[in-house]
Amino acid sequence: MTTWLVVAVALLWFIVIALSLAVFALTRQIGVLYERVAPAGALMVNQTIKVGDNAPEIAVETLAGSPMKIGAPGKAALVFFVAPDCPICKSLLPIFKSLSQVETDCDFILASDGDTLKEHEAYVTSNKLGGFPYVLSELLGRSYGVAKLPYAVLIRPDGKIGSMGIVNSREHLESLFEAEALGIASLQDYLNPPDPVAIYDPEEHRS
Amino acid sequence: MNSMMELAAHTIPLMAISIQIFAIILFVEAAIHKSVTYKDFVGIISGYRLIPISLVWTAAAFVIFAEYLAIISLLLMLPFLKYLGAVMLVGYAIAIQINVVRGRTEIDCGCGGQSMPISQSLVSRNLVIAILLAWSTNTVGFAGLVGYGFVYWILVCGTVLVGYLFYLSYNQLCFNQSLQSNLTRKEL
Repeated sequence: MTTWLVVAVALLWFIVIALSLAVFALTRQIGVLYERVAPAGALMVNQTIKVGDNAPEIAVETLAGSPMKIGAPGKAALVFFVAPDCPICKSLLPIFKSLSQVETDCDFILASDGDTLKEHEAYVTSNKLGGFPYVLSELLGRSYGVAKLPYAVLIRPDGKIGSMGIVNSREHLESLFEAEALGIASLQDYLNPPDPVAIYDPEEHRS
Repeated sequence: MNSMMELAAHTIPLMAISIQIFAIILFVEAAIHKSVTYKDFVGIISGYRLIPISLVWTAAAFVIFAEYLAIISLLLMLPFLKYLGAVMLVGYAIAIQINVVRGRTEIDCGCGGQSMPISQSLVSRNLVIAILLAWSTNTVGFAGLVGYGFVYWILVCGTVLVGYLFYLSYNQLCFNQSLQSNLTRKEL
């Protein structure tokens, strides 16, 4: 009898420890999920243009010397505004590159201004950005209302702004595509959905 | 009746010692974390806005010293000082409660380990641990445990382990709650 009791208690102890480990692991996973799921991206501080506006058409020239037009209808384009002296931009470059392999029906463009041409060329070489058009234009940044870096603008194939915002992480950058697909303009829009009471139109419900 | 008494005589010291070991682990973890990230801790203390900025550095050093003192007092069961740990936990609870009432729930708790915002649940957590700790230090000290055998210590280890895992889960749940409210809050 006593032997069985000892065995039972030992077994129960084992189960209790295993279960409390499982509970902790689950709470931890829920926490991670909350962090990931946060509609982190695209905090919009742009006063110049709005999502849905026609993207300003700007003629620019790439570092390689070929002319191109940003904002022209035709193909979707992601314009990623960076600067050689911006550490967060640098940390996002690998993500930018991997994203460019996933979103194949979209042009990936890097944009910058200021600094000397040499610095930009060194930046392109050291970060292996040769495959992307890299444009230098102060006008471009100003027209798209870029105040803080790293900033990204997704232009839809019809030449309208799909989504845009400051990007600080992989989630932010990916959320631009997500936001465009869902039709949510920005982080603020997600967090502050239109007030259902305010939208309610009594006329509409009168039969 | 007799067997009940015997049961209590075995269970109470087991619980008491487990709680004390648990508290020592908490304080060691917190004290080391605070000493290693001393500058951050100063920032956290000033975030509570309870003492003038000019005294923050001294206060931070004092808190860390008190935590080490609490560990030693618990281990040695120093008279009076053995309650220091419980008193400090109540002190933290009051500091957190004041800021919760003020509505400054976004500040870092500074509880050691993972940084997380303060909340009412942290106040309750601290008070529960403080009460348990005060009770256990009043009940039994390490010195009274020499006669116990091997199995007893295994039971103590198991209890501490499960208790600590529950503590971690509770902390994580508090953290999750704040993450969740971040998702749904209206203002930005």
